[in-house]
Amino acid sequence: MIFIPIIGAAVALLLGRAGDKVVKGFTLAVSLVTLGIALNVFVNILQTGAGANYSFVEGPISWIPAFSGVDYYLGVDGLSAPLVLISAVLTVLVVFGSFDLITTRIKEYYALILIFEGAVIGVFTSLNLIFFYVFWELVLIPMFFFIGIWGGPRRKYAAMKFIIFTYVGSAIMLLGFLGLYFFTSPNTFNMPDLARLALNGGIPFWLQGLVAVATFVGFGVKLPVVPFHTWLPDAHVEAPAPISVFLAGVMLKMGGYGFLRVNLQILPEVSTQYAWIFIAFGIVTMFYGALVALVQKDIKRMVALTSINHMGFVLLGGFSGNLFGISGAIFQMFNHAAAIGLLFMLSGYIHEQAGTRDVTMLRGLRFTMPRTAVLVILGSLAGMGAPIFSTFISEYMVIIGAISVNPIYAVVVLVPGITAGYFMWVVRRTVMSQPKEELHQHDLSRFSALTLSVYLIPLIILLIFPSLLLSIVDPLSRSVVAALGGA
Amino acid sequence: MDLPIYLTGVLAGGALLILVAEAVSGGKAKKALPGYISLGTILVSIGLIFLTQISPAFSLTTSHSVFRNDLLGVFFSIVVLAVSALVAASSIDYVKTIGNSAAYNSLLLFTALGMVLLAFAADLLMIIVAWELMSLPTYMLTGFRKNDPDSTEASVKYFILGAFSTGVLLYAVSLVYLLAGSTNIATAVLALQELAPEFNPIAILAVSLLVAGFGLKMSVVPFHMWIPDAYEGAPPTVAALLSAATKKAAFAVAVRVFVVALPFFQLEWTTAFAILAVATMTLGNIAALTQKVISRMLAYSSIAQAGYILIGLAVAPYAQSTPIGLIGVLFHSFTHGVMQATAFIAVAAVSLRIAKPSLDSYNGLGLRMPVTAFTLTIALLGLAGVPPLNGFWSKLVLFSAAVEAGNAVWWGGWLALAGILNTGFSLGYYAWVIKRMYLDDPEEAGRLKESFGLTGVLVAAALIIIITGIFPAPIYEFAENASLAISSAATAVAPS
Repeated sequence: MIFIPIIGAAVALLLGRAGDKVVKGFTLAVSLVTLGIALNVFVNILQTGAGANYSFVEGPISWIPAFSGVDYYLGVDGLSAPLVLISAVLTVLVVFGSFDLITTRIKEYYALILIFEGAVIGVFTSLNLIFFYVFWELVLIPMFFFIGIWGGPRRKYAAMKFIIFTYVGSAIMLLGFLGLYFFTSPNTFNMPDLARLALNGGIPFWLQGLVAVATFVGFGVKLPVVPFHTWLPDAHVEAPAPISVFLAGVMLKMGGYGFLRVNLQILPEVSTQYAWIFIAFGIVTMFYGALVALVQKDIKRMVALTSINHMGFVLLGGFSGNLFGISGAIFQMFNHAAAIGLLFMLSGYIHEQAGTRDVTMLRGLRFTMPRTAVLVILGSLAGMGAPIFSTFISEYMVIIGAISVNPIYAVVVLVPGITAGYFMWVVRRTVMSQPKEELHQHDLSRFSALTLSVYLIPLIILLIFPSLLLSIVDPLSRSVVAALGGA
Repeated sequence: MDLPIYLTGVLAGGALLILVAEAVSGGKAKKALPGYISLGTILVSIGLIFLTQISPAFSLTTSHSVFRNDLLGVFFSIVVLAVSALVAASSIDYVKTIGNSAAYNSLLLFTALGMVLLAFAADLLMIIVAWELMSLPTYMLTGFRKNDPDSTEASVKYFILGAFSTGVLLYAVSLVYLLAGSTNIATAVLALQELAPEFNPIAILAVSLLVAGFGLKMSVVPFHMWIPDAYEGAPPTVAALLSAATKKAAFAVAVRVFVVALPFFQLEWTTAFAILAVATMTLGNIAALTQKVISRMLAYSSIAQAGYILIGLAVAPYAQSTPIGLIGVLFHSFTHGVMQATAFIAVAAVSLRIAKPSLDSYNGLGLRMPVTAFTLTIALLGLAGVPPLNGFWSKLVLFSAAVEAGNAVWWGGWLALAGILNTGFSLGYYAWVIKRMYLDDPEEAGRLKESFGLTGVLVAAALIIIITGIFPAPIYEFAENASLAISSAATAVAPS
């Protein structure tokens, strides 16, 4: 599943001479095949109900036999299956979305997309910390070029800021992994072994604390948590719209995944005793994202900040340490990927068609761009967590999880309120207002509108049948909660 | 001890053959002939190394000869010869612009010979001889563009400091002889164990002088001053040789001398090396950030990389089950050698087309010279330690060694943290070059012709970086065996 896209990338580069259409078609085919495999894995886990354990395990095969612990080791469980699925779905949609929006250096672009997909799936399925880290870093390289080559006017600045921020963060995270390896016995980088070790008290508390600081920097930069978030608005705004979808929909999830996988499973004692620190960071992140989004004029920047706010939910839910919180956090990551993907693509199309993303300049979309207007309204509803989409359920679950830990955390119900406020404001300004005469705008093509609607399908399905996802996630959350309680 | 002798014959023979061929043909032979001869000679030498039987590990009782034909020597001589082969192959095209390729190639072979002998040398006097054999040709090579004042200046500066370092080394060796009555490393170490305590200051002076002398070639701060000037002034292919090969040969000696000899003064020297390591990598990285010329930037980056290798030396005695610090030293010597050579050869390829390359002339290189730019990108990412390239693995091993040493000394973890932060910052300037090549618009448009020979070398080198990145196991194991050869000797003399 990882290697299909990566090999595909090399082939796509070679196909470049055969013409752009061939490259596009080939990339689409590869991403569809990957999606098929991901869906198969997901359904399989759904049917067997094996969410708590790793399925489809490959390895451990020793990578450097003399350096024991560096293994090739893959597997999927209730945490990674939804994320793999949504990554594969988004890749297909991003490929569709790029047909119109990306016009230069076609073959390099699609090759990088496939490398990115492979690397991301590698992150979500690796069960070995070093293997995980290799993919984690591999994600950066395509993203650097995406932002830097195909991005907006300040793309070079954004690309450099992005790569230095995330690279320093993850280098510190690597140090934490090394500490984990050398100060536990037996020495291992394998996550299931480490989790088992943690359960038996094999990882001393001081070590957990140090590693938690290191991984907090690494995962926190990706998620992002508030003091480490400054790269995000720049990167998201400057990246081309399809890549913003990747950034927000997939890359931020890597941070959330890291917190849930490493902190909760391998560092349980710190994660329970000092949960309030993580929760505090989560709440600050949520409020910060929401309040700063409130004053933005650029739609894309606003959407970018919204995703900071939504990722705060993940942190809050994860460290509330109960079933509702953890399942809600995973659910939230899945939903956020779909909702934010739609909003970023919309902002890209609006920019393409209207020449501006400034809320104050966009008027009367319902007359000039009726299809876009409908999608803007639906996307905003999804973004604010209105109860017609499954984002509502996940935010609700996280809030329940948090309140059941400490009623003070109820303050976070304000966040969806603020979010609703600025989305409504945007909708009122852009959709409901009267158009200016001189702006002659063109609407989305039917095809684009159709691909954009696809983002909403999982949100609706999961509103009605949340058990499709939760029955995978819950067994895992249950076992995590049990482990946390036992620690 | 046959292998070093054979190699002497082959390499010196090749070097002389080039000169004779040039004299006989009266300069009428094909211009590229000396280049092919030197490349062939180096490849034959590498082949010889693989064919020859290795004698057992370095041990103190059996090592009274001048050379020691052990795995450590084999490892380092393969590294330096591989780099020399890359340099020789890339010089075939490059030297056409300078002329006098017979002299160039024969000097290159003599340098290679010096480095190989240094890798095998087990006697301090032999080390001095090999050191000079390695250094003298490089002074000339550095000044090879004799009409270019920069090149001459670099050569003179390098020569003066190099001569000084040889003097320091000789003084250190005479002190050792005074104390131990022998210049053979093994005999000297055994004798030093029974040294009367009142001679300790002299012993420490001798060791400090050895560190200073070797440190000059190893580009350790504060002996690094000549490096940026020399690398900038020298032809880029020679800079590749200096930073990727002669530096590694100096590390080979350092490993052989210090790891065996220094357990004697354990506490003082590991802490001193750790401080040197932090100073070297920090200064190298900070200085690299501000450079305007790519060869100076690579020079400072090469200083920083020497700092990473020093981490391995500093923590080597604290390894528990496997000599992981030493493995890191060897492994990183290999990976850094290949990556640094690739980067400088790419610079050479660019300087063939653009007369005075500043960093600005790299703008938009991704479109103008796609292969060169791509391989340079691979090399730079590797130097920054981005997985899955080989530079990541060797740094991982070095930092792991430092973290593991945290069990024994308080500064182990901090050393690893310093290394990791430095790696993070180093991406700042490496990515800056990549940004210029791919994101910025070129100063002048138009594709530049890429020389066929240089492109071939670059692609081959980039493939080595990628393949040993994906399959690091063989080299790691080779480095482990080579380290075991030397560290078993070290534990034999370590005070219990």
